[in-house]
Amino acid sequence: MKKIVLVGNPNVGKSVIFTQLTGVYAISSNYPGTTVDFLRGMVKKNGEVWELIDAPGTYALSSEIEAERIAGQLVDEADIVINVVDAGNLERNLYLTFELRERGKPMIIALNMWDEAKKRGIVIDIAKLGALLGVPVIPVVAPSGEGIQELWHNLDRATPPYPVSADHTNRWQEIGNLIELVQHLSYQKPRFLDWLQKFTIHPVSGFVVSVVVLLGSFFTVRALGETLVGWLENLFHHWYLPLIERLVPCLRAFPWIEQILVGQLIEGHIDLEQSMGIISTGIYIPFGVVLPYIVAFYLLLGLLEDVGYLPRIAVLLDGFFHRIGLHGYAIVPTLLGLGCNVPGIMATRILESETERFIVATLISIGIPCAAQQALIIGALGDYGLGPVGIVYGTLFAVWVVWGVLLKHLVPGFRPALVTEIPPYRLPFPKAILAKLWLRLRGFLKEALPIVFLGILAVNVLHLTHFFHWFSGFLSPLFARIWGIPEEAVLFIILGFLRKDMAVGMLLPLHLTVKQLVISNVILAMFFPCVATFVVVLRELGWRRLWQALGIMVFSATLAGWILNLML
Amino acid sequence: MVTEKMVVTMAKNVIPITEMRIGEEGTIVGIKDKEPFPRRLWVLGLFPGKKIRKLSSSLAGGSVVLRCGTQELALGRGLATRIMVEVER
Repeated sequence: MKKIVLVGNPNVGKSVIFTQLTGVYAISSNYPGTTVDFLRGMVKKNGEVWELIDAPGTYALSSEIEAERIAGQLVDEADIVINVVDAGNLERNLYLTFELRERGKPMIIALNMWDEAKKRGIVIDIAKLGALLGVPVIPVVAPSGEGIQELWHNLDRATPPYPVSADHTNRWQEIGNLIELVQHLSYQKPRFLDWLQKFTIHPVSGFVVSVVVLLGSFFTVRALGETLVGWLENLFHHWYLPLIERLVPCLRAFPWIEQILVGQLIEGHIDLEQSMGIISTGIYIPFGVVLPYIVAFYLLLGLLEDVGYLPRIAVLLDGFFHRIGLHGYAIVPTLLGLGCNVPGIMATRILESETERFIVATLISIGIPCAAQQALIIGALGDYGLGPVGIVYGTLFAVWVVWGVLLKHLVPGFRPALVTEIPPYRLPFPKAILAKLWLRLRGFLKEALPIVFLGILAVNVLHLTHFFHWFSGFLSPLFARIWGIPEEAVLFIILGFLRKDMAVGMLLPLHLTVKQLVISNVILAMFFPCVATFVVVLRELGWRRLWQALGIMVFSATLAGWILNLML
Repeated sequence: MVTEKMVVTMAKNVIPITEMRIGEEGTIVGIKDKEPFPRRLWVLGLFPGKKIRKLSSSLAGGSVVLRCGTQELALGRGLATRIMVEVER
């Protein structure tokens, strides 16, 4: 099977061209032994099925950076390379083109965003560019589909480009000489988008905009998520619940299997939220509760990404994040963590160093309450006014900042400075956003679902063996002293490892005082991650990092509970 | 118009990017302390000899935004204090 590989810088619309050529259904693949993902799709050409690969976006093909190395390997495996080049940024894009010339594969250039460049006063002599490089150059406007057909028909004309010296010292000089011959810039009156660009990156107005955008996104996700939950709840209670309730009598003879599959009956019925069986709670929580928020989150994130806002917010927040040893891009996983910690921690993959990934993952699991937790905090304390809720959020934020600063000094390791291009704003292309949403959802289901099942299985086994009760009975008196809450409450907090929201529910009948409720909620949020987060940290960062993160969480939850007990 | 007299009074100054004024242009001359010039900047088209214009600088020790040819780039503050540019003042 022939392999065609799309190669280009980040933000040049490579994925849009990929989507235009293959349709929405692509497969995300993981390059063996790495965390680098790329997209694959099948296309029909000349009566044969060809494989189309969307390589990771890259500025060069060095062997030092993982994503670049893999893009290079994909190029070496390719039969035809489509080099996607941003017409509005020809000079920088040509650096990669020159590296591709060194590889000598049959190549064709898709000169993308041709219309946008023209509007910005950039004129490119396409025929000359093609003649100087020795490959066909096809102008395209990927979102509208303009030029896609031509690109497709001209694939057969792909030829190895003229060779270039492998010595990089004069590379920019060589590129500069080429640019002189093929590109002319003329002055254009600033457009609205140029003005918007300035406004949103300005230290003051940009900051205001970022706060508005973040709050706006947060509430949109919340509202959209709740709407979806409402729809699904109907589906689950009217269709799914009666179906599995019929199963219960059949399982009577096998109590162990019943315990694992269906879980405990509550007042003689299955409770989707509390029964804790694989087919009851195990299906309901990921599909009925978590998935709607994930859909909403990914939809909005995809939109912000494609419009080009994310780099700007990363740039604006870089100073703040720098103080906690991170750079501005740490905002993305942190935001995701507000929906569900699991995708938040998975999103730390966009960060460059392992040290950063560890810090962000730890900070998310300690100080970022997920949507479910937040709903419960507000449910338990909302009646007492804003004060107690404010104390819980304030404490979590303070702990997040303090640990950020501490980890900056405690964890050695490479922290690369922020270096990012700020792509121009673009109108989003719905088909590409939907394709991305679909891919991410499938990834989430594939990765998170088995974890939830395994977690629930483990919980049921531990429950059946009474391990947790023995363990917490042993610790309760001590912690009850430190935190100033009843021993039963400690037991429920430790049980919170299984399900945090369940623990809050169990705390309610204890008639705790407001102070005790505040302390319990803070501890529950910080103490130990839920099973799914636990497993995801393990998988992404390994046992050693997991134990370090857990140590930090248990220690600071204990300390924060103690300090609140003394202060309030 | 630049007169001969002005050229004489305008000294060439080498300063870090962070000390450039907003809107000022300069030419990159290199990086402090004889460090190798960062490859991440090189592949983006920031290299000694390249003309840049500073567009903005975030508050509170944040990053610096530059225009370089037809693109806009942001550099973290720490890196921006080490990249030296030649400006005419």
